[in-house]
Amino acid sequence: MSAVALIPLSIWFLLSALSLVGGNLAEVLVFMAEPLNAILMFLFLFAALYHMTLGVQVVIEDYVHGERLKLLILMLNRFFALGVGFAAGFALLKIAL
Amino acid sequence: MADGPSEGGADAQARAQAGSRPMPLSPHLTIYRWPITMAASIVHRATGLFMVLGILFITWWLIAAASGPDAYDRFVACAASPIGRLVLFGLVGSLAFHLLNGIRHLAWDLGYGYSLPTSRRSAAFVFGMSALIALGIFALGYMQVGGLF
Repeated sequence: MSAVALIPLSIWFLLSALSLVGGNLAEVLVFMAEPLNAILMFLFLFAALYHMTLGVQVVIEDYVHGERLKLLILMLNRFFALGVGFAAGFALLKIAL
Repeated sequence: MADGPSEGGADAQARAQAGSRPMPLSPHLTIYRWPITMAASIVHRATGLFMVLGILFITWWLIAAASGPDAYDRFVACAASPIGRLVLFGLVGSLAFHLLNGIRHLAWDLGYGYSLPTSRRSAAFVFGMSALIALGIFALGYMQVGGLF
């Protein structure tokens, strides 16, 4: 499901990032002040982080043997996604509002 | 007398059984050629893992933008450095590959494109197309900045 959502969202992000290449901070702030852009950015981040968590989890399950270690790394995987999500989400809110 | 290559009996017999083709030699790992479908599968995983770095890059970008001009200038200086550009090119290429190959996976989920010739052709298409997209995006980026440097 996150894969399907990421088809349009990642294309939108790639083209948006391209349009901001070479620009300064003011242009980024104007871009993110547009509610539609901020909302799409949120959706993109959420879908990407969710997709990342699922994907990395499969890799961990494939390569990490030993139940305790696997459990620990699976937990770190989720903490990592949560931490990055909150950090990026907070920064996005701050420049969007 | 019972064995030896000069006699050639067993060897020729085996060759005849395999249909005139020489028997496969298995342990030559250095000349082993990856089937393109297998390469696509491995590269899909590798590009996915590499893009974890991309998410961190985006997060840094947002935090830098939220922190003010100085932090943002530091981010831009790093992103525009030769290593930064190389990493960004890799990330754009990874996104293009993972996106196209992901659509290939979704098509399989729907039951399309399963035959071996089709999946070989779609894998080759994904490799070629993602390289073109990455080069195209970078060309557009350079045009926008106004030249190579």
